[in-house]
Amino acid sequence: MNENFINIWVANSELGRIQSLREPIAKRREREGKTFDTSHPLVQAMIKGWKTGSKKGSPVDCLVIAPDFALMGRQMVNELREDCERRGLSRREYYLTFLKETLEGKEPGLGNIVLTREHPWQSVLDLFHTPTVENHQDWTVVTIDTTPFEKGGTLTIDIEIGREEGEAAFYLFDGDRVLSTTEDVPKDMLTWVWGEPGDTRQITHSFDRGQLFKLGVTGPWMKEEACINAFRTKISVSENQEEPLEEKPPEPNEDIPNVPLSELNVLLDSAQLSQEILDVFRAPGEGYQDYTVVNIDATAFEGGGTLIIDVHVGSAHTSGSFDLFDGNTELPTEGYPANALTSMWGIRPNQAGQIRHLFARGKVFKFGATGDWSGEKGQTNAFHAKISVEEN
Amino acid sequence: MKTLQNQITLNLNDDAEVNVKGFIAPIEYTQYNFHVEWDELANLRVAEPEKQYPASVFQAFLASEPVSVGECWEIQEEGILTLLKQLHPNPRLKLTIDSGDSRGLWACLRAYNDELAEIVFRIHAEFIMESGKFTPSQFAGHLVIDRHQERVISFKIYVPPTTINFDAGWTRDKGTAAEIGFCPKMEISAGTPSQNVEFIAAITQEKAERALSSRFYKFQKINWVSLEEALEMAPAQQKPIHVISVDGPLFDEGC
Repeated sequence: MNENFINIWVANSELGRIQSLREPIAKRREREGKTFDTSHPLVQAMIKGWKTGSKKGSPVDCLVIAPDFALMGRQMVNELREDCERRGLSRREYYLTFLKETLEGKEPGLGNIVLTREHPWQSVLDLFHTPTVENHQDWTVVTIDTTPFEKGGTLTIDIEIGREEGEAAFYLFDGDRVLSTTEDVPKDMLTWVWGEPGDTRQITHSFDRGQLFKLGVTGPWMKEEACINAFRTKISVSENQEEPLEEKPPEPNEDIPNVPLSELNVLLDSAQLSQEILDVFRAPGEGYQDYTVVNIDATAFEGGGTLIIDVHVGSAHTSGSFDLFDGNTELPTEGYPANALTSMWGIRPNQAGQIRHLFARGKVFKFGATGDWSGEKGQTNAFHAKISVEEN
Repeated sequence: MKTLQNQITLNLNDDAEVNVKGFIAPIEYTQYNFHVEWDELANLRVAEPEKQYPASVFQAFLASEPVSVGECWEIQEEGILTLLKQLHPNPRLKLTIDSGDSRGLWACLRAYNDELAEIVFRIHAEFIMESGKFTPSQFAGHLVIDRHQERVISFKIYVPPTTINFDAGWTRDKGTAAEIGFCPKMEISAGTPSQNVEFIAAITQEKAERALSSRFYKFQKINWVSLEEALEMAPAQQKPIHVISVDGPLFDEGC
């Protein structure tokens, strides 16, 4: 470590990452006559590091930053166990590999989805934004690393778009493409698809040799009011065996089956024991609640059962809190949800959780999704929920 | 009292008494406002503002064998628990959250001359509350003894006032919720440190603290530098910067 790197550690609270501590720490610094310069280029690189990539949010981030202060790699401690298991390495071996890969320029953790023969697919749950300024695209970027597939293959991206307002365009580029914020329609994309809220879409692209790709997602057209919506992708590669596959042209949108996601009201019965939803929640500010509400009708289960809600929070910066209420409950707009049947709070980005609730006879529930109180008011994140009932 | 290889023996006269004052300031801030909502944290104050101890209690900080400057040894648990009870009635040295490098009590001989010896120490301990626990980042401190009269000249155990200097856990119906925050002052002390003392042998306070920290954390072997130093070193040495960006401090138990 001492030979190859200059080593530093920094408390996130010093850099203002813990929002609720910004004001008291600033007051204390003022009282003690101390300052902390966050315009420092190294600090800026760290702050960029927290926000970079398709996965965000960990109480400990390990970053590698070049001498010119460009980001070279990032490893989140929250992801360490999963990453180790994925590559079959011990923590020590994995971290050494991470450091070596940063020095080799592979940019590990900077949003790259690394697909290998052993792990040929990964999923991403994130947000896209509709621009509010003409000719200014607000890109969400997923970098896809297929370099392990030396003989090439077919990249397939299965897409679901959330149910909030806002259409999305998904563009696939070569990995070295710099995405322009001012280009209306990118001219050198490899392929693209467009979809409306609730749509499912697919991109396929054949490649002769493993390479980096960029998937750029944006709300393609300007709106008067900013729209934020969720998207979920499953990104996979099927490897070429001998001969490279011929390029498969992108299918026109109208030929792709348009399967809507679940509506705001979820109806469960013996014929359909589970449904899935993809939506967005919003941080309400400390002490308040701002629920995205899903009505769950489980009246068909007259003999009762167990309501199970598996939740996965997206990659944006805000943690989620989830509460289950009786169907006739008026949801609170502030304070603790004291009348919730059960709750699950503080689910961090990219983390999952489960709510289970036993009910004696069929009834209607309200499922409320909101941001964690520690998140900055108004910040959003995606969530995916699988709502199911196990009958008694 | 002086032995071979610049080693000295340390001792105290058991008959002497030491008057120790204790203080805990109200907690200034926390991440989730537990210092307002959790009564025990809101009302955390020193258990006994002033107390007399026999000097034998402080014998716990002294090495049982002759030691040289920079040498570290383990502190005896019983003595430190007696002193920490002046701050809170339920101190515990076995921490609730321990990644394998959290537990310990270490002292180091920082300096001495013919008259005085200064020992610095670092202790990891926590307080067990009725509905949770309070874990200071560390208890740092010093003990200066008169080598001839074998009495305590000055003594202090305190929680350093870093940006975040404690971790807490509030246990309620739905489990234990974690919290971090800042307590401006938590200390017990006796006497006044002597000023402008010339020592025969000494290491800097920083070096002594590093020696103590190394007894807990293996990663202290890494040469950690400040932000400002890294800013100058990286372009000059053309080396990448390895950054640990962590919610609490890296080198203590505050997170």
